[in-house]
Amino acid sequence: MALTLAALGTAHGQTLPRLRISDNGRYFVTEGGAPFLYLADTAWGLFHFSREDADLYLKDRAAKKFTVIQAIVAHWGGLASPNAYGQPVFLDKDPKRPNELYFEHVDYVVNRAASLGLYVALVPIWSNEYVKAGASVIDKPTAFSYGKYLGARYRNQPVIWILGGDYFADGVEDIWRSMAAGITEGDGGAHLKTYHPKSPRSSAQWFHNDSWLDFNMLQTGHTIWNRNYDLVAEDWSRRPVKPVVDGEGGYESIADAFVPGGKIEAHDVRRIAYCALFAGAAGYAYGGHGVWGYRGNNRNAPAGGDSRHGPAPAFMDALQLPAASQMRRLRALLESRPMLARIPDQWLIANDYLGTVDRIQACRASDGSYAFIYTASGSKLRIRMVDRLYTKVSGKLVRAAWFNPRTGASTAIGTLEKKDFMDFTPPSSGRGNDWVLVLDDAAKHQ
Amino acid sequence: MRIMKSSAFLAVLALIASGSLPAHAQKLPGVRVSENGRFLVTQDGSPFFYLADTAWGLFHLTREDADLLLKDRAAKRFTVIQAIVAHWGGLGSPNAYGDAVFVGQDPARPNEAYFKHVDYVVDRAESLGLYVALVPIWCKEYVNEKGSVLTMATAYSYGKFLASRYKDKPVFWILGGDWYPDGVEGLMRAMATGIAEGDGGAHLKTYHPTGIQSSGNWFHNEKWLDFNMVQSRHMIYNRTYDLIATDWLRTPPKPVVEGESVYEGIQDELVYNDPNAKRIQPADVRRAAYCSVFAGAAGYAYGSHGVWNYRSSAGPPRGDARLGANLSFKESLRREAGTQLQYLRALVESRPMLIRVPDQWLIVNDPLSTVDRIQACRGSDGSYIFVYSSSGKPVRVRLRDKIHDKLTGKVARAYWYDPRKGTSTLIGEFAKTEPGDRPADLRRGDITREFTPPANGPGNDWVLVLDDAARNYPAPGQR
Repeated sequence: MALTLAALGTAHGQTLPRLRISDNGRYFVTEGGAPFLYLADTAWGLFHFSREDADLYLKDRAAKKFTVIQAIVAHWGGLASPNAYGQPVFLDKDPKRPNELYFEHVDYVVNRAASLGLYVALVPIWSNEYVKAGASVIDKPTAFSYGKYLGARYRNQPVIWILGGDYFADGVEDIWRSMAAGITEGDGGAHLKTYHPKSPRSSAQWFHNDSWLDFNMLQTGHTIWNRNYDLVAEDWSRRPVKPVVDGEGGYESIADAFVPGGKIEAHDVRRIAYCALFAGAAGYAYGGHGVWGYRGNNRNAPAGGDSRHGPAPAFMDALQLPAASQMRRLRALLESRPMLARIPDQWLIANDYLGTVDRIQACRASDGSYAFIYTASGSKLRIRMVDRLYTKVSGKLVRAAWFNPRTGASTAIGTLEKKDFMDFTPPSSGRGNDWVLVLDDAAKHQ
Repeated sequence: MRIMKSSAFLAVLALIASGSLPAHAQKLPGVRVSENGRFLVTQDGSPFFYLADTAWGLFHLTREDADLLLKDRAAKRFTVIQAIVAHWGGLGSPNAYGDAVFVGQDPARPNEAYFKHVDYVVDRAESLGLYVALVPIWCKEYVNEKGSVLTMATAYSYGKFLASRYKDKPVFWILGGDWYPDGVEGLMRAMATGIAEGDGGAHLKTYHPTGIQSSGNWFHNEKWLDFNMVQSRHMIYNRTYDLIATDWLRTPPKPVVEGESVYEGIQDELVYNDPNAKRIQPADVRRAAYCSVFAGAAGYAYGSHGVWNYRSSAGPPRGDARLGANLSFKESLRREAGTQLQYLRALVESRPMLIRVPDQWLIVNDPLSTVDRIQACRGSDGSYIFVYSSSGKPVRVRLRDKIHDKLTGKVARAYWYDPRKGTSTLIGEFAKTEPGDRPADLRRGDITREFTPPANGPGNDWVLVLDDAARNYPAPGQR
């Protein structure tokens, strides 16, 4: 398996390369043009962890091949709520007065993440608690000054900016615009910016045409009926073209739709992740119940917390939820083929792509050199290889294989003579038996 | 006005009221794009629902057959007939009266006798209240990447000839014809220019592509393209809603019409020569029609196997053996879904049509796909919601999304509308928040409610209609 550029960079103690948008406007690349998959873990309370917890956590996530950690600077727990060292984010809850001691700890965590090859996506202040129409703790000048402070402080660190935070921007659009302008003023536009909305929504609803919005972010719903593919498709269609990231899908092990009883399982999480990326997303943010809400209290005790979300495992256990270890398989698959050429194409599927929980989601290289078809429940696939004048998968011979999203193993089907329509039956079927059919132009990908 | 107690007179009145006969031989109004860019309206701004029947061979029908077809389609409340001027049957192939479309198969020389017959049919359609959507020449046979019978000059001159001739008639122009324009885009543009030159831009223009494609894939940003047309393909697994959704998202907004989806009675996936092939059923047609319109389409074109391909002069319809044995022309006119799509028209016309927006997020549960698809739309002002459930699966509807009302008002009025009969059943009225709503929803500020259709299973399709009761809309499908 190829070492990532990010890992190579840190091997030499260098800072991670800056990120930018790919030339086709769809994906992320590093400064040098290497594809970058935004594969985040969500630890909104990261800056409230002790250093020991943060170290443990970041090492775990780096080992599991995540590339980004999503965290909040001014956490919903309260503007006066202290971090593990007694420091709140602002002095006297005043966003005009960032607390140097709090930010020294943030510096430590961001640097530690960088040393492990991880970018940190920072939410300056959680909108759902603090920035709503008629009830915002920041006005436009404060949004600007706080943004500028943050931008300047992390100008040379590997960060991404996520404005918003689980809320609608209605009525506070200009506050976010001010903050974006402040960040740009502070970091000279060094880092990418987006906005994290309420589900099921995209940042694009308010900001798609704003030049500060480098990419769109979705929140798609903590439900087994998550339909992020529709939201991704919608953003894929927008002009000008911008990448889209599913910034919050279904957290593993959380109560389905926040209704007690149901639970989002590992296979739901895999489905949501594969569907996002195959529908055209440039990235996906995973979240584990017991991690996303953790704020450094006691890593070995069940977190309790809000009853809506269902019982959460202890932080140490939550780190080992199955899908957390399986996301790397998705990354490995995507990185094993030319990533920037990937386009969504549901018309590869000639039969029924089924409803949400059994969803089949397909993508391919724009040049036809490969196709990936994800089936959430191991359903039979009928693939349209050629659509009259248009070739979907190129070449006369097609190499076919089953990729297992649970283990990352792939099983050869064989090299087949291409026909207009080809049928494939996955090795197993039923709930949780998800598979990716990988089709290669045999002449291109060896 | 004095009421004449003549049953014949009343029958005529009923026909007039139903729109199947014009009150006078007055001209049909011109059609333009609505101000929001999403739908079609007549010159005075009244909503126009493009509900077409497909009779590609219309100009090869005898006058008697044409009369029969047009009267039948007018009575079934279609508004448009789609027909080809230079039919795929061959440029030298004569119409029912022995006249070919061009003299010497030369597009530079339209045959006056052939066009006199076209005039007759177009006039007859107008007298019955029907617009004709004309395909100048079928591209799949005549203008494609393999070769073209048109040059830039003749594409222009033929376009200009046609448009001048039908400048004052109720027509639409459909360029293309079941094919990709790759390599012949310039010819299509030249023809569009010729048409605009000929009719001064009086009539709307679009392009009819091959299956699973939209005109928008090639021409969306071109000024001559007034609205998009998709062909979604003749298959049970038809996914017209995905194509419509893609076009709905294009900017600038243009209306999109589903121009060819599943012909009733044709073999699934156009499988040839297979007596055991599945056939497209009425339920498949209704599903394609409701899903496309609820996904945002400004119109839908129906087609019946045995009508779309009928040409009086050419013996058995094309594809008789390959695509499934046909009923006779007359029997094909009576296929089930062909009589049912008027209820779709009645439904969308019974609520403010120009504010309809697609909204799958009305559906909390799984919208499913293809054969069981659930497809939802609403008035952008929140005054009404339509949810189509293809096989009667229950649907949980989001009436309020945290801070946004999907349905306005405090009291909702709910109906089931039957797409097979055009009748509705009042479910009742309910307060938008009342005991029984899920606590988890209320805490979040959501209001959702589950509805279970009266019957379920294949072919048991239903439309849930939810109104803001304060608006006092008529029953679904009534005016």
